[in-house]
Amino acid sequence: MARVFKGVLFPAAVLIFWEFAARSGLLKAESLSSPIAIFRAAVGVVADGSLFKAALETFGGAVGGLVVGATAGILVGVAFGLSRHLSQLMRVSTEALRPIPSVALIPLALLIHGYGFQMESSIVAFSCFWPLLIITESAVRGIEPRLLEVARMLNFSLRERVTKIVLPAALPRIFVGLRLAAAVSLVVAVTVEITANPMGLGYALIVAQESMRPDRVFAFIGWIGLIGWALNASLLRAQQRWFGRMGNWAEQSA
Amino acid sequence: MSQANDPVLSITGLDFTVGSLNILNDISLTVHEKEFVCIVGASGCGKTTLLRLMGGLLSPTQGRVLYRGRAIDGPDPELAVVFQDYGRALLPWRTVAGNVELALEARRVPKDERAPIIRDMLERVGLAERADAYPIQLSGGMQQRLQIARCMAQAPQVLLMDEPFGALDAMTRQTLQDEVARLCADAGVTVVFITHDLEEAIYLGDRVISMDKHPGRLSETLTIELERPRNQLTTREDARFLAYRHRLFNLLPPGH
Repeated sequence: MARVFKGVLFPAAVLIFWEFAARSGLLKAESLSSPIAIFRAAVGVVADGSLFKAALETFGGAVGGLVVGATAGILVGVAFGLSRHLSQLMRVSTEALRPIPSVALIPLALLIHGYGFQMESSIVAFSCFWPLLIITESAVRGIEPRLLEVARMLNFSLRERVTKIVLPAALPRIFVGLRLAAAVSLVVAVTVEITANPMGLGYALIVAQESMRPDRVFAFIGWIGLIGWALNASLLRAQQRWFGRMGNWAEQSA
Repeated sequence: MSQANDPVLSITGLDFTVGSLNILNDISLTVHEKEFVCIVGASGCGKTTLLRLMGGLLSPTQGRVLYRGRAIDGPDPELAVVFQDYGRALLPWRTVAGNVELALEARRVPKDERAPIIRDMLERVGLAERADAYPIQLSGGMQQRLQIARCMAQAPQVLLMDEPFGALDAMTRQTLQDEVARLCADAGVTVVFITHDLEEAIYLGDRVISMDKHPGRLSETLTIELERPRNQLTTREDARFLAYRHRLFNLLPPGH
């Protein structure tokens, strides 16, 4: 309890000082509003439904892209992990595409899809593809060779080997990649909305900024942080729930 | 199907080299139906390599390995391998029952017929009560029992065992020796058993073959004429047991 109190001490002091500074006219009201005004705005965007609508749009773009990008990354990663030949054959191509910053693809995605959900999620998918590809490939390559021999002795087909041995063995590490990609997906989705796509939390931020409402800007930033935290926390819980029981296999490989 | 008079395994003129390193040299060996053959040798003599060649996990550089008259050109589910490192050979994400089920999936046993077979296998190795546990929750001896149960669930004709009890404590090892002897006799499987423990080889085997190293080659064969079932106390005190031990000891002195 005392430790929690200690941790809260600093932010509370900052907030009190901030509130005081805003009221006394030390801060310019058009760039930094007071904590109480921000809190009011945060409640306001919930009450008028604008937060829910924006969050749903951002979430849709992020999760849609995450699902597509991660699935593709896992599939290609398994193939690369199982076949060194294929991995080497594709090395130059993947290494040439990977360094492209995903936001650099916004104009191209706009040309192809126009504004909207598809354009946003295609960029998210691109940025989620890489971490999953790299982590899955190394996870598959790191599978206990004895397990692959067991699969050989049982005469499993390639499909059976992948579904019964390779994927479950690599899953704890793939899941870590998934958590990484989930965080990336939210960042990219908001970035796309801020720079180009008129929807979601990013666009709500821009609207608040353009209408000179710093309280709303802060409110949306706070909500975005909270959503990101909740997303990561729920994935972490899922990870502990699914892989926790199986002992240090999951811990070691994660 | 197999010819009745074909030996189960027959190896002729087998060489195995890696680069310029001669690992196995001119190995010839015949294993008959339901025989329990033990191969003993110092570590590094190539006995594990020999077993992997029999299991089709490796291909010989020269010579042939025949299983019931046909050449082994890859792993065959009729030959099961029990690995020494049981901890790595089990699927940590599957329960004890799930690990046994893996072999039944490989045999294409329909889903609704699997439960009784799994129960039977687990009962035979004394793991019926731990069916829902994960491998990590089992002791070393239990993990090895589980691997053996999975191999038996494969319904193999031949069991190839690579120092299966090498990592276990002495007491567990003796219990497992008796269990494996009984299990294999009941199932009527042919066994090739690799070990570096002379007494274990004599205790279990119908035949004990010693191996020399650099390069690995078979040196001498002892036919063990001790009654079955064998007994940890009386068999090991039998004068003939001690005579076999004496003979093997001279062939394979410690630190050799």
